[in-house]
Amino acid sequence: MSFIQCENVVKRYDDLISVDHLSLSINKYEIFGLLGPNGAGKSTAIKMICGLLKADQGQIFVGGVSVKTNSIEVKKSLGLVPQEIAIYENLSARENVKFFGKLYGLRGEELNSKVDLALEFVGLTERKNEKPIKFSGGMKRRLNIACAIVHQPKLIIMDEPTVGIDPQSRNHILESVRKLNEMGSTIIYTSHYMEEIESICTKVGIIDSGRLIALGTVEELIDQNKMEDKITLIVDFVPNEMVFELEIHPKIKNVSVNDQTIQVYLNSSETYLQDILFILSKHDVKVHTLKREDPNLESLFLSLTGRSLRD
Amino acid sequence: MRNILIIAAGELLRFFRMRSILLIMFGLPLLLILILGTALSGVFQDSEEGYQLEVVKVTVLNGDEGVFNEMILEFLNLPELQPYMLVEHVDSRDELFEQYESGEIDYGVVIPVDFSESVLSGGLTGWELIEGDSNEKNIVVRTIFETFLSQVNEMQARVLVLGSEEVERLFNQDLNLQFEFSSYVEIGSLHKNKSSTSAMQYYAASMLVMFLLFSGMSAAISLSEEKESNTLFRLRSLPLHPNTIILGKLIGVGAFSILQAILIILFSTFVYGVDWGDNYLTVFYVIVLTIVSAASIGILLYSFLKSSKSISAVYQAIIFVMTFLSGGMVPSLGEFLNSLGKFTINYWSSNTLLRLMIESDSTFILNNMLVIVSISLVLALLAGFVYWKVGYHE
Ligand SMILES: Nc1ncnc2c1ncn2[C@@H]1O[C@H](COP(=O)(O)OP(=O)(O)O)[C@@H](O)[C@H]1O
Ligand SMILES: [Mg+2]
Repeated sequence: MSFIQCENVVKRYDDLISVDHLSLSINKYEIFGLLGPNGAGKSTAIKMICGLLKADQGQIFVGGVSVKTNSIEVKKSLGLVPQEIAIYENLSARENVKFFGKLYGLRGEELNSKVDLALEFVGLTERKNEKPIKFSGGMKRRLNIACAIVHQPKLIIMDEPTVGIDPQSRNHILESVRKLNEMGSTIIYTSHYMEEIESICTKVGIIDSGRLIALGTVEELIDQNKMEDKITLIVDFVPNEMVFELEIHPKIKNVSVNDQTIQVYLNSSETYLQDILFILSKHDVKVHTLKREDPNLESLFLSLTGRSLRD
Repeated sequence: MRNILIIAAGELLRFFRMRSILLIMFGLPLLLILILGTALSGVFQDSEEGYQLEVVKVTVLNGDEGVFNEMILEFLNLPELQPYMLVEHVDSRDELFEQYESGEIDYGVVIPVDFSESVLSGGLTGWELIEGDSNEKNIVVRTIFETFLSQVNEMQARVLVLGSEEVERLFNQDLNLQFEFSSYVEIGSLHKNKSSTSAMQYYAASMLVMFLLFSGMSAAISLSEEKESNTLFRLRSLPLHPNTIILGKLIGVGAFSILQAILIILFSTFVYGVDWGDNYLTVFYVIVLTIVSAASIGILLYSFLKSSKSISAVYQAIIFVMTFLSGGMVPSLGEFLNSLGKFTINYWSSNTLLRLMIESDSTFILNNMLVIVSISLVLALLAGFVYWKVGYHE
């Protein structure tokens, strides 16, 4: 049995199905990325895995223990980094970590050394005696993580830990996720940024409207789905007839226009790039820049759902 | 259990980190006792000599002609009571009310016609006590009469056990049934130090109660702030048993309130010369039960209101109305408002504290305690039930 096993998990809020028959297994030592737009059901799924929310249907096991019947046992070996920053603003950074460390059952010397280790890990050692009121968004996010890893749990779940922070803090956090994984933790990481998921995750699940629509390593996902290429053109002007002509081309999947930028999705651009350039020249449109992008999770999501991740 | 204490300690630590809360919870009550106690001491004390309490003019309509009549008259004329009340008799209700309405008297008492008979037959009976505008005078006279009546009650209990003939016989033989009148005189201890002590005493009690209620409010606010800061969500992801979080928080708030009470009592005793009596244990019970009621209201408000802002607005309004009605700010509000005061937690708690200060007869204290226990029990059960229904999650 895998380390984490979800079987047909369903969560409804009135008429809305927030998580729709989710089945999923995650192995030990994996960095599992759960990718999906806002409202996809990521946080709801996470809450059920952590035993904070009861599933309407289905079963979840963590380390072979059923979350439904023994959530306290599951919670002992788990560290959750909540999507919303959850720290006490009028306790110092160190007091915050220590408070939660105590509740995880640490005490005495072990408590103190692990608290300091966690603070060092997220790079807050120098400011550990300050209150988070004075912290930047990135520092609060890092403290938010420290509070969840102080007991060195086997499973760390991070729910969008990088929302709204500067690139530097983001890199720091991504780096620490890798390190935590190397130190032996299994990690579940949710995000709606495909770059993050692509760069750190060993396995990815894509979720949309509560349903898991793809599952595998990044390479597998892109290979399996015979992805389209994306060509971005910056031109001097965009006549409607030209856009129309591009759209009706049998090999072109999708055209989107934003000012002077045109994005074209099509199968095998090597073969059909000439067609595009021909249509452009027919309308006397000059190309300033042309960029061909390899398929990625973003384009995969688009091809699976017809929508972009960020909408 | 360890986790409950960790959460309670965390709660306390956060309280002590909030300077403004500390100032409000510890400094403000002491300041208010001082201000109200000195500024309003005139309400309590009009006499020139300073420490002498003004004699309360009491008019009695005594309809009773039974075996107790003589004893009642003897009681009303006791020399020990003369410094406190001046008794006048009238023959009709109309007369009594005329005097009362015209403000000639401070207090009226109607003794029912069948008083002695009812007592002897084991029936329910009592005196009609018509309170005046002055809270201070009311307390004095009420204490005196209630002490007397409690002894009558005791006698009635004997009637029920021994039978009325037996008691009547004993009574006529004047055996062992002499009343212990010394306790009435204890009323004087309210005024033994300075002219303003009694006002100080009064406000020390009412402010203590008011600020204990505020601490209950802080429980509600802390519950909802924990939710608003998402730390509740994090706490729920920890390996804790379901009620650990709320119990820990309540114990934290309770400990904070008790510290607050101890500080107010010590400070008012040593700096303001307030005498809290010597029944510390009962004072402690009153404090704990008041905290229980306050925290229960806190939980109820938390369950029905969404944000910590609306909780604190509503709770503050409740506390001020209750404190005001119970006479905690201005002692005399007129008969109607004063009677509404009996429906407040403040009334019962501070009244009991006042009685403990003047070392009233234990029967009243017991009666008052019974009321306080019932109030806090009902509120706690209600809060427990609502909490059980609504729960505590994000
Ligand atoms: N407590 C709730 N009550 C009603 N609807 C909810 C609740 N929590 C989440 N939802 C709905 O469930 C869906 C999934 O939400 P969520 O799991 O938070 O998405 P994500 O974390 O992927 O952004 C959303 O449509 C959201 O509105
Ligand atoms: Mg979410």
